[in-house]
Amino acid sequence: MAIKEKSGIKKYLRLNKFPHIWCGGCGNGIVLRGILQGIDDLGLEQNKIVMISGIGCSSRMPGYVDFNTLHTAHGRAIAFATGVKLAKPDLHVIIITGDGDCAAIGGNHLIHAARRNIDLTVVILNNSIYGMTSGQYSPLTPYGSFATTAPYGNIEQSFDLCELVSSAGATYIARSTTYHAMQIPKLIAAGIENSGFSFIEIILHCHTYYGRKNKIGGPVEMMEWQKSHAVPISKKGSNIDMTGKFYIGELKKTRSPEYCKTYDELISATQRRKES
Amino acid sequence: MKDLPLWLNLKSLSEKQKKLFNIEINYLWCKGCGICIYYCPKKVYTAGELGKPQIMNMDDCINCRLCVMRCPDLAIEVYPREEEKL
Ligand SMILES: Cc1ncc(C[n+]2csc(CCOP(=O)(O)OP(=O)(O)O)c2C)c(N)n1
Ligand code: SF4
Ligand code: SF4
Repeated sequence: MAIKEKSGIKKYLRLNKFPHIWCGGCGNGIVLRGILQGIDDLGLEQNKIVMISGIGCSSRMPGYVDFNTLHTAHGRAIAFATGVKLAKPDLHVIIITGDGDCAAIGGNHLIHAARRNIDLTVVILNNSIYGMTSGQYSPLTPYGSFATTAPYGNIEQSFDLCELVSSAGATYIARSTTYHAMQIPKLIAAGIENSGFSFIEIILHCHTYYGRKNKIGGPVEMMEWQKSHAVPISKKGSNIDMTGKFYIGELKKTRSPEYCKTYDELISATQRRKES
Repeated sequence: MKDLPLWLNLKSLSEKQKKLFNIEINYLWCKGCGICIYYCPKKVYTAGELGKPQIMNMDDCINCRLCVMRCPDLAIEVYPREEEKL
């Protein structure tokens, strides 16, 4: 009898928590699938993974996975993760955060973790809005678009978080979308493998709030929007009009000293000096 | 296989060209968003009750895994079909 090669990701799920709480068609589930595939491709040991989130629709993710998990306070996932990683540097620490969680209330934790180049993998689920609290605009809501708190259009400019963490010191930066779901596992795997601060932005759809407020349509229409606005980074330099568009793929890969390793080296060096 | 008459063996050899796959949908998890139906390049699905996918042409599936990876409810499994027992 031929072996049934079913996907290997079911073992990572807390099956009794399904079906999940996200709206039908919500992009969060697609990102969850991609992350689990990336972990499975690396063949990591389940108990060596910690998934940590803040608060938001996206931040419900750790509740569905059978790893070590922490669901913390709004915006504080990176702070908790820093503590976990320093105490147990051999664990793979993955942070799940929304655009509000990461860039508004959690913005300072983000830039300082990037500056330290601590070995964390931050996956930001950017749906351009606060989903859980019913559609307020976030620091990533595009200029001119609508939200419950921007009924006349958003008058604030949005962050380019990939640029922000790049200048802060992150060593691996990538971006993708839920339309490009096939690309997500590879980026997640590369982010986990990078010894340093990794930042992976996934642009996803919240049709319930962002899609409806901006009259874009449902999940399919929003994924079609992603398809037409994403430009592979390999095309950088060719004369594509980038107005309103964004690059996807591996945006940055570099090396610099990792925080936990430097910390350990400092301790051993100081101890050696005391002994002699 | 080896007990089969020769002509049957030859037939199965020619059919080997096309690989077949099984699709399983977990209807308890599926919320009928329609993503799989829209994006299947082989039009394997059609919308059934509550917009949930009905498998129309399973034999046309090419295991591209677009529906598996894009299903927000992790409700689809695609895997190689077991050899048909004669
Ligand atoms: C300290 C604190 N302030 C405010 C809130 C209310 N709150 C809950 S989720 C959320 C925003 C969620 O948006 P985002 O991080 O973008 O995640 P999404 O729901 O879109 O996935 C806010 C403001 C809270 N829970 N705690
Ligand atoms: S409100 Fe938006 S982000 Fe939250 S579950 Fe629904 S579609 Fe997803
Ligand atoms: S993509 Fe998944 S949840 Fe959506 S209709 Fe298909 S099987 Fe159901």
